[in-house]
Amino acid sequence: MYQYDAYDHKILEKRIEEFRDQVNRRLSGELSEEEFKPLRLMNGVYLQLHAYMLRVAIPYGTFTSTQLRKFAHIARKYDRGYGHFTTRQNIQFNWPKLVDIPDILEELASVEMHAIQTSGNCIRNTTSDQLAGVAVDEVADPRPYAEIIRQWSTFHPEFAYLPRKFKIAITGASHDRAAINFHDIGLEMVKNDAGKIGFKVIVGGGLGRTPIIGSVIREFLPERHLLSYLEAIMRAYNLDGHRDNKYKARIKILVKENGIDAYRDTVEKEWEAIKHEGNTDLPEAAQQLIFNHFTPPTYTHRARHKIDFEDFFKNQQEYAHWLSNSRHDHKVEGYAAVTISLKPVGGIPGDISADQMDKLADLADVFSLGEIRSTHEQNLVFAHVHEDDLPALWQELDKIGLATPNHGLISDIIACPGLDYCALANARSIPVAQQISERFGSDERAKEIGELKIKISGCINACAHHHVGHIGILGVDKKGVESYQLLLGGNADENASVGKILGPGFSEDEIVDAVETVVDTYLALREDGESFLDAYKRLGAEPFKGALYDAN
Amino acid sequence: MRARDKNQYIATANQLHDGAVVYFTGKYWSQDIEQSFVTWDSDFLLKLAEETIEKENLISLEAAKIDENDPSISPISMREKIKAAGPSINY
Repeated sequence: MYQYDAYDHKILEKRIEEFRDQVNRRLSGELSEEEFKPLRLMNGVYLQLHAYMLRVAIPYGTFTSTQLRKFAHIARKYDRGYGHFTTRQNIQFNWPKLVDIPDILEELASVEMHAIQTSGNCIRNTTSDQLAGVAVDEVADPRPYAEIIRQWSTFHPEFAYLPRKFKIAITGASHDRAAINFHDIGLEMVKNDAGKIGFKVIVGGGLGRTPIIGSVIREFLPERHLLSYLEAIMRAYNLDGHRDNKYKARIKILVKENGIDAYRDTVEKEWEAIKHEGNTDLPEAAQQLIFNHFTPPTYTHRARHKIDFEDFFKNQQEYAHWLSNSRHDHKVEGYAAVTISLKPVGGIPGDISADQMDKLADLADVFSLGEIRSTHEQNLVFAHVHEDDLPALWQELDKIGLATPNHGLISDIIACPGLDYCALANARSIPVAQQISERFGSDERAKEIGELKIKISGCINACAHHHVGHIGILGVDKKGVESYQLLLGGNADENASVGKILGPGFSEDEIVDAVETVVDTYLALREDGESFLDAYKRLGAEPFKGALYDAN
Repeated sequence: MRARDKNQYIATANQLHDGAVVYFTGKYWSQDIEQSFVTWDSDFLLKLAEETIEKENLISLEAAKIDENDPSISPISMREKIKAAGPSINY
């Protein structure tokens, strides 16, 4: 992965020095809150209901055991002993004191991390496929390009004050694990007829209050022109995006209003001008310097970690269940990638304690070349595990409560922090996720139901992607009381679809029963081997509506 | 003369240095909600509280409706209940 040079370190050093001064000036009263707020947001510092929150960028969701140990240290020293992985592959701390944040940023900088581009109207941290570089269905590793985008977009003066935040996702695989259709720009690496690598470019996707599936603006962009084309898209948006209404300020509204063809024409004109200037696309030598950081590792390792055979044979059914949904095929024969669920039954989606982080860092060193990935579904991944080490890894993960065998199943729920933390939320998400997880906590039941993605947001901003949940749940405020709307049929992968609201909402006491009614209806009506999503496509909403509302 | 709102209100804010929630007592700010100054006039309350927040290093001033039938000071909305009591989950 990318390693900082002296210039990168200097940038962070200067930035922290600047922010420390800004914090001190705010605390002394020299800066007003109005003046300070945009400055703290540029450094990833939000104010939630009870405390500040610091969101730390994890570029394309890849980090090292050393960085994970630093998260554990920060959680213990400056926070309340845990961190929370987000739906954009970042980690956030929910209780830092403002006065401590410059020190936290110094700690992060010592392991080549920061909180820049995790807030504000800028190009945010670029996200990617958690299996990047090891996926069997991949054209090429997208992370060098994500790193190029990161370096291009960080402090890009033209894009520091965009109409709204701007999110880019990139994947190199045909199966979309990065939700590229629901980003401001989605990039899929493809090969053209001549075998050349390039990008299919999707623009104007998004969730929030106006969920829209992105439109293809270019079927094939030669990879050498990535930055000039992105710059053209950004310039067209920056010039024409609504700045007078924050609810209409995302690029998706601009594309929708003008139509993709008109927007494409504008971008093409900008692109010609940018290409003519000739300063934006990276020279091959500079690009190669970035690529050198992403050479595939040498796969000669095997942990040869001791297995407790007695335990293994006693619990081998559990192991088989875990293996069936946590193991992923790997490009290199004899190796596998492993999803580590952060969704223990009844637990808080995405949360991990400092002790778990430390132990997981040790396991990453032993089993996965010291590298960890975060996923937009709020789980973690070891991407380089020898097949022979899987039983030992499972046993070690189980010891620290991280071997829940539910990846992709009904209790692998995405939930935003919701009203328990967030100042924007209208309803709680986490307790609903916990109750659903407990209701469907049995491995047998979850297995019988099969693949089913539930996503719960505590407000219309849709941080938990409820629009693209197979079952989506949106919390709303109904005269001061929480109410939950059910949506069915959403899908974030390459067969993208936006879920539809079924009908009137449910109270907190009713929502878990309502989800169970939907699941039971599916189980009763499904055909052999039919997934929830396929059954919903075949049946439509009516049987589910009938089961939920007709009795009342 | 201003017509009385049917609801009673308290004022909340967050401490600048750590974000902790505090309540306006009418003279100063306290982390104890029970010490809150209660009034039907939210405009008056916010104006009075606003005069103190800069000096007291506070941010995010808001009025919260409370349940007048509850003998203790109890916010009505789930948001304000959680703000007063902390997250409802065992984190």
